Amino acid sequence: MSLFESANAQALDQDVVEQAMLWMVTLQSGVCSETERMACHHWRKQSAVHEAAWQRLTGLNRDVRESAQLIAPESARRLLKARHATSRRSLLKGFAGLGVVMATGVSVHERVLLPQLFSDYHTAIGERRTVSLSEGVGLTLDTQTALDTQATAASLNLKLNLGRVLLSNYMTPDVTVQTANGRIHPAPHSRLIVSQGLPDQPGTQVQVLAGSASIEQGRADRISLQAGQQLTFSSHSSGEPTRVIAASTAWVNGLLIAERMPLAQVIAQLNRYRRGVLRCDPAVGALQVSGSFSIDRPDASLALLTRVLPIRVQRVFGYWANVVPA
Amino acid sequence: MHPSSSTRSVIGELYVQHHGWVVQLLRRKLGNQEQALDLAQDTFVRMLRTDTHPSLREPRAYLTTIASRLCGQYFRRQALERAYMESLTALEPEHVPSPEARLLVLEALDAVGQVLDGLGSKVREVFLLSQLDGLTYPQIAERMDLTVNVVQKAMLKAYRHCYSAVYAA
Repeated sequence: MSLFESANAQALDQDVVEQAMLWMVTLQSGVCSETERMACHHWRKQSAVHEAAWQRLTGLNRDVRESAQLIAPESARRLLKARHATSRRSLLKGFAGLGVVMATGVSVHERVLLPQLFSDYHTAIGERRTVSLSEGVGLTLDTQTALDTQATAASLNLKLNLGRVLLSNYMTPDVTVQTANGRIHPAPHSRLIVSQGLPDQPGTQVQVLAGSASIEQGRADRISLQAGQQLTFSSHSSGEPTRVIAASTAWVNGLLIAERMPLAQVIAQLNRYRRGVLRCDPAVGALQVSGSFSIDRPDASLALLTRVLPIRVQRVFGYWANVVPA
Repeated sequence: MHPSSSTRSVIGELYVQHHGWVVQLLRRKLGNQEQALDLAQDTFVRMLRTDTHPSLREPRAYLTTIASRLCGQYFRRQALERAYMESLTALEPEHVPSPEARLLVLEALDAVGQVLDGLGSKVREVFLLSQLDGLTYPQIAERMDLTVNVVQKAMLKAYRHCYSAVYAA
């Protein structure tokens, strides 16, 4: 997805890579002959490994160009010079002789903080995970979910910090789910979805799929929800319970099911499962979408959308894409 | 990618034992407590992300290596940001890019900068003149006062470097 990524790349024969580089350097000279061009073409066709090495080099070229495409070449060169001009001596002071500078980096948008990784349960972008708690409680965590558990001999308290979980309470009377906005008490033999801080949904949402649950919110009376009911609430207010739509559990199976859903909302959903920035141009945001889309393969879903709607995906960088009118 | 629970516990233990020491090391280097905490965090995150888990008989040597790389990257990133912000001061306010656009420019340039790290300034300039400006080798030779043969060799060197930075790291 992102620039200069070599995900799971196999090692290629070094001699072949060297040969490919010689061809590349020859062809990029700006003064190579038609004969040389043909000979290079012929070399690439000789074997799949030749072609693979060639493709890696053209990929490198493309990434270098893309990485500087937002500014003039001259500015890019000047800025890179400034970047590299940092004195090596000052860098090495205190680290004398240790390590060669390597080319991989933790970029800002990927930065993950340790407390999150060490929180009891935590899913990455695009990850979905099912865990079974020994207390007879089953949990499925959606993408970008952070959850803490506090268990005592008699009770289990789950703290949903962010994201979405599907919870099946097989028997325990004393299980609760705490969010920033209130506390949910699922009845034994109930199944429900709790989400916190999702886009387009401020606060907490509870969707009861089976059994019942009650919600405790500040000093107000508990609100009781039955199977098929859902409620969205903040710490000081809540609306009326509404009906749970059938497609609500689709994410558990890796699907997003849209029924006359505005495109902007579909894109916002896919964005949660995809690394990087995904934007929807307001000019096409109101287009209605019906269909089922894979959230495990958000880019394939985007491609599908471009086939059925008058839109196209404009890739600003590998990881930043805009959905715009075709 | 998600680290396994055993990896997490090994690194959790390292974190408990050496976090303070790494922060101290970085603070000496950076002269800034907050930055030191940030990079110390990244140091451990980096360990969580590596596939191969060294048995770590010398955890501090290993941590120092990672911390030093991050430190170098941090300094270069700072230098890049400074140069970029300076270049923007020359612009009319309405032409100054949004913070988000600025971040994208910096991220992308930093990415290519990291791949080029370790190349000499002349080789780097040759490579960028070819790739970004689209100049021919004779044009580059003339502009930098080199022979075409030297330009060609520099290009080959740059390709070898970039290839191993991306594919052999």
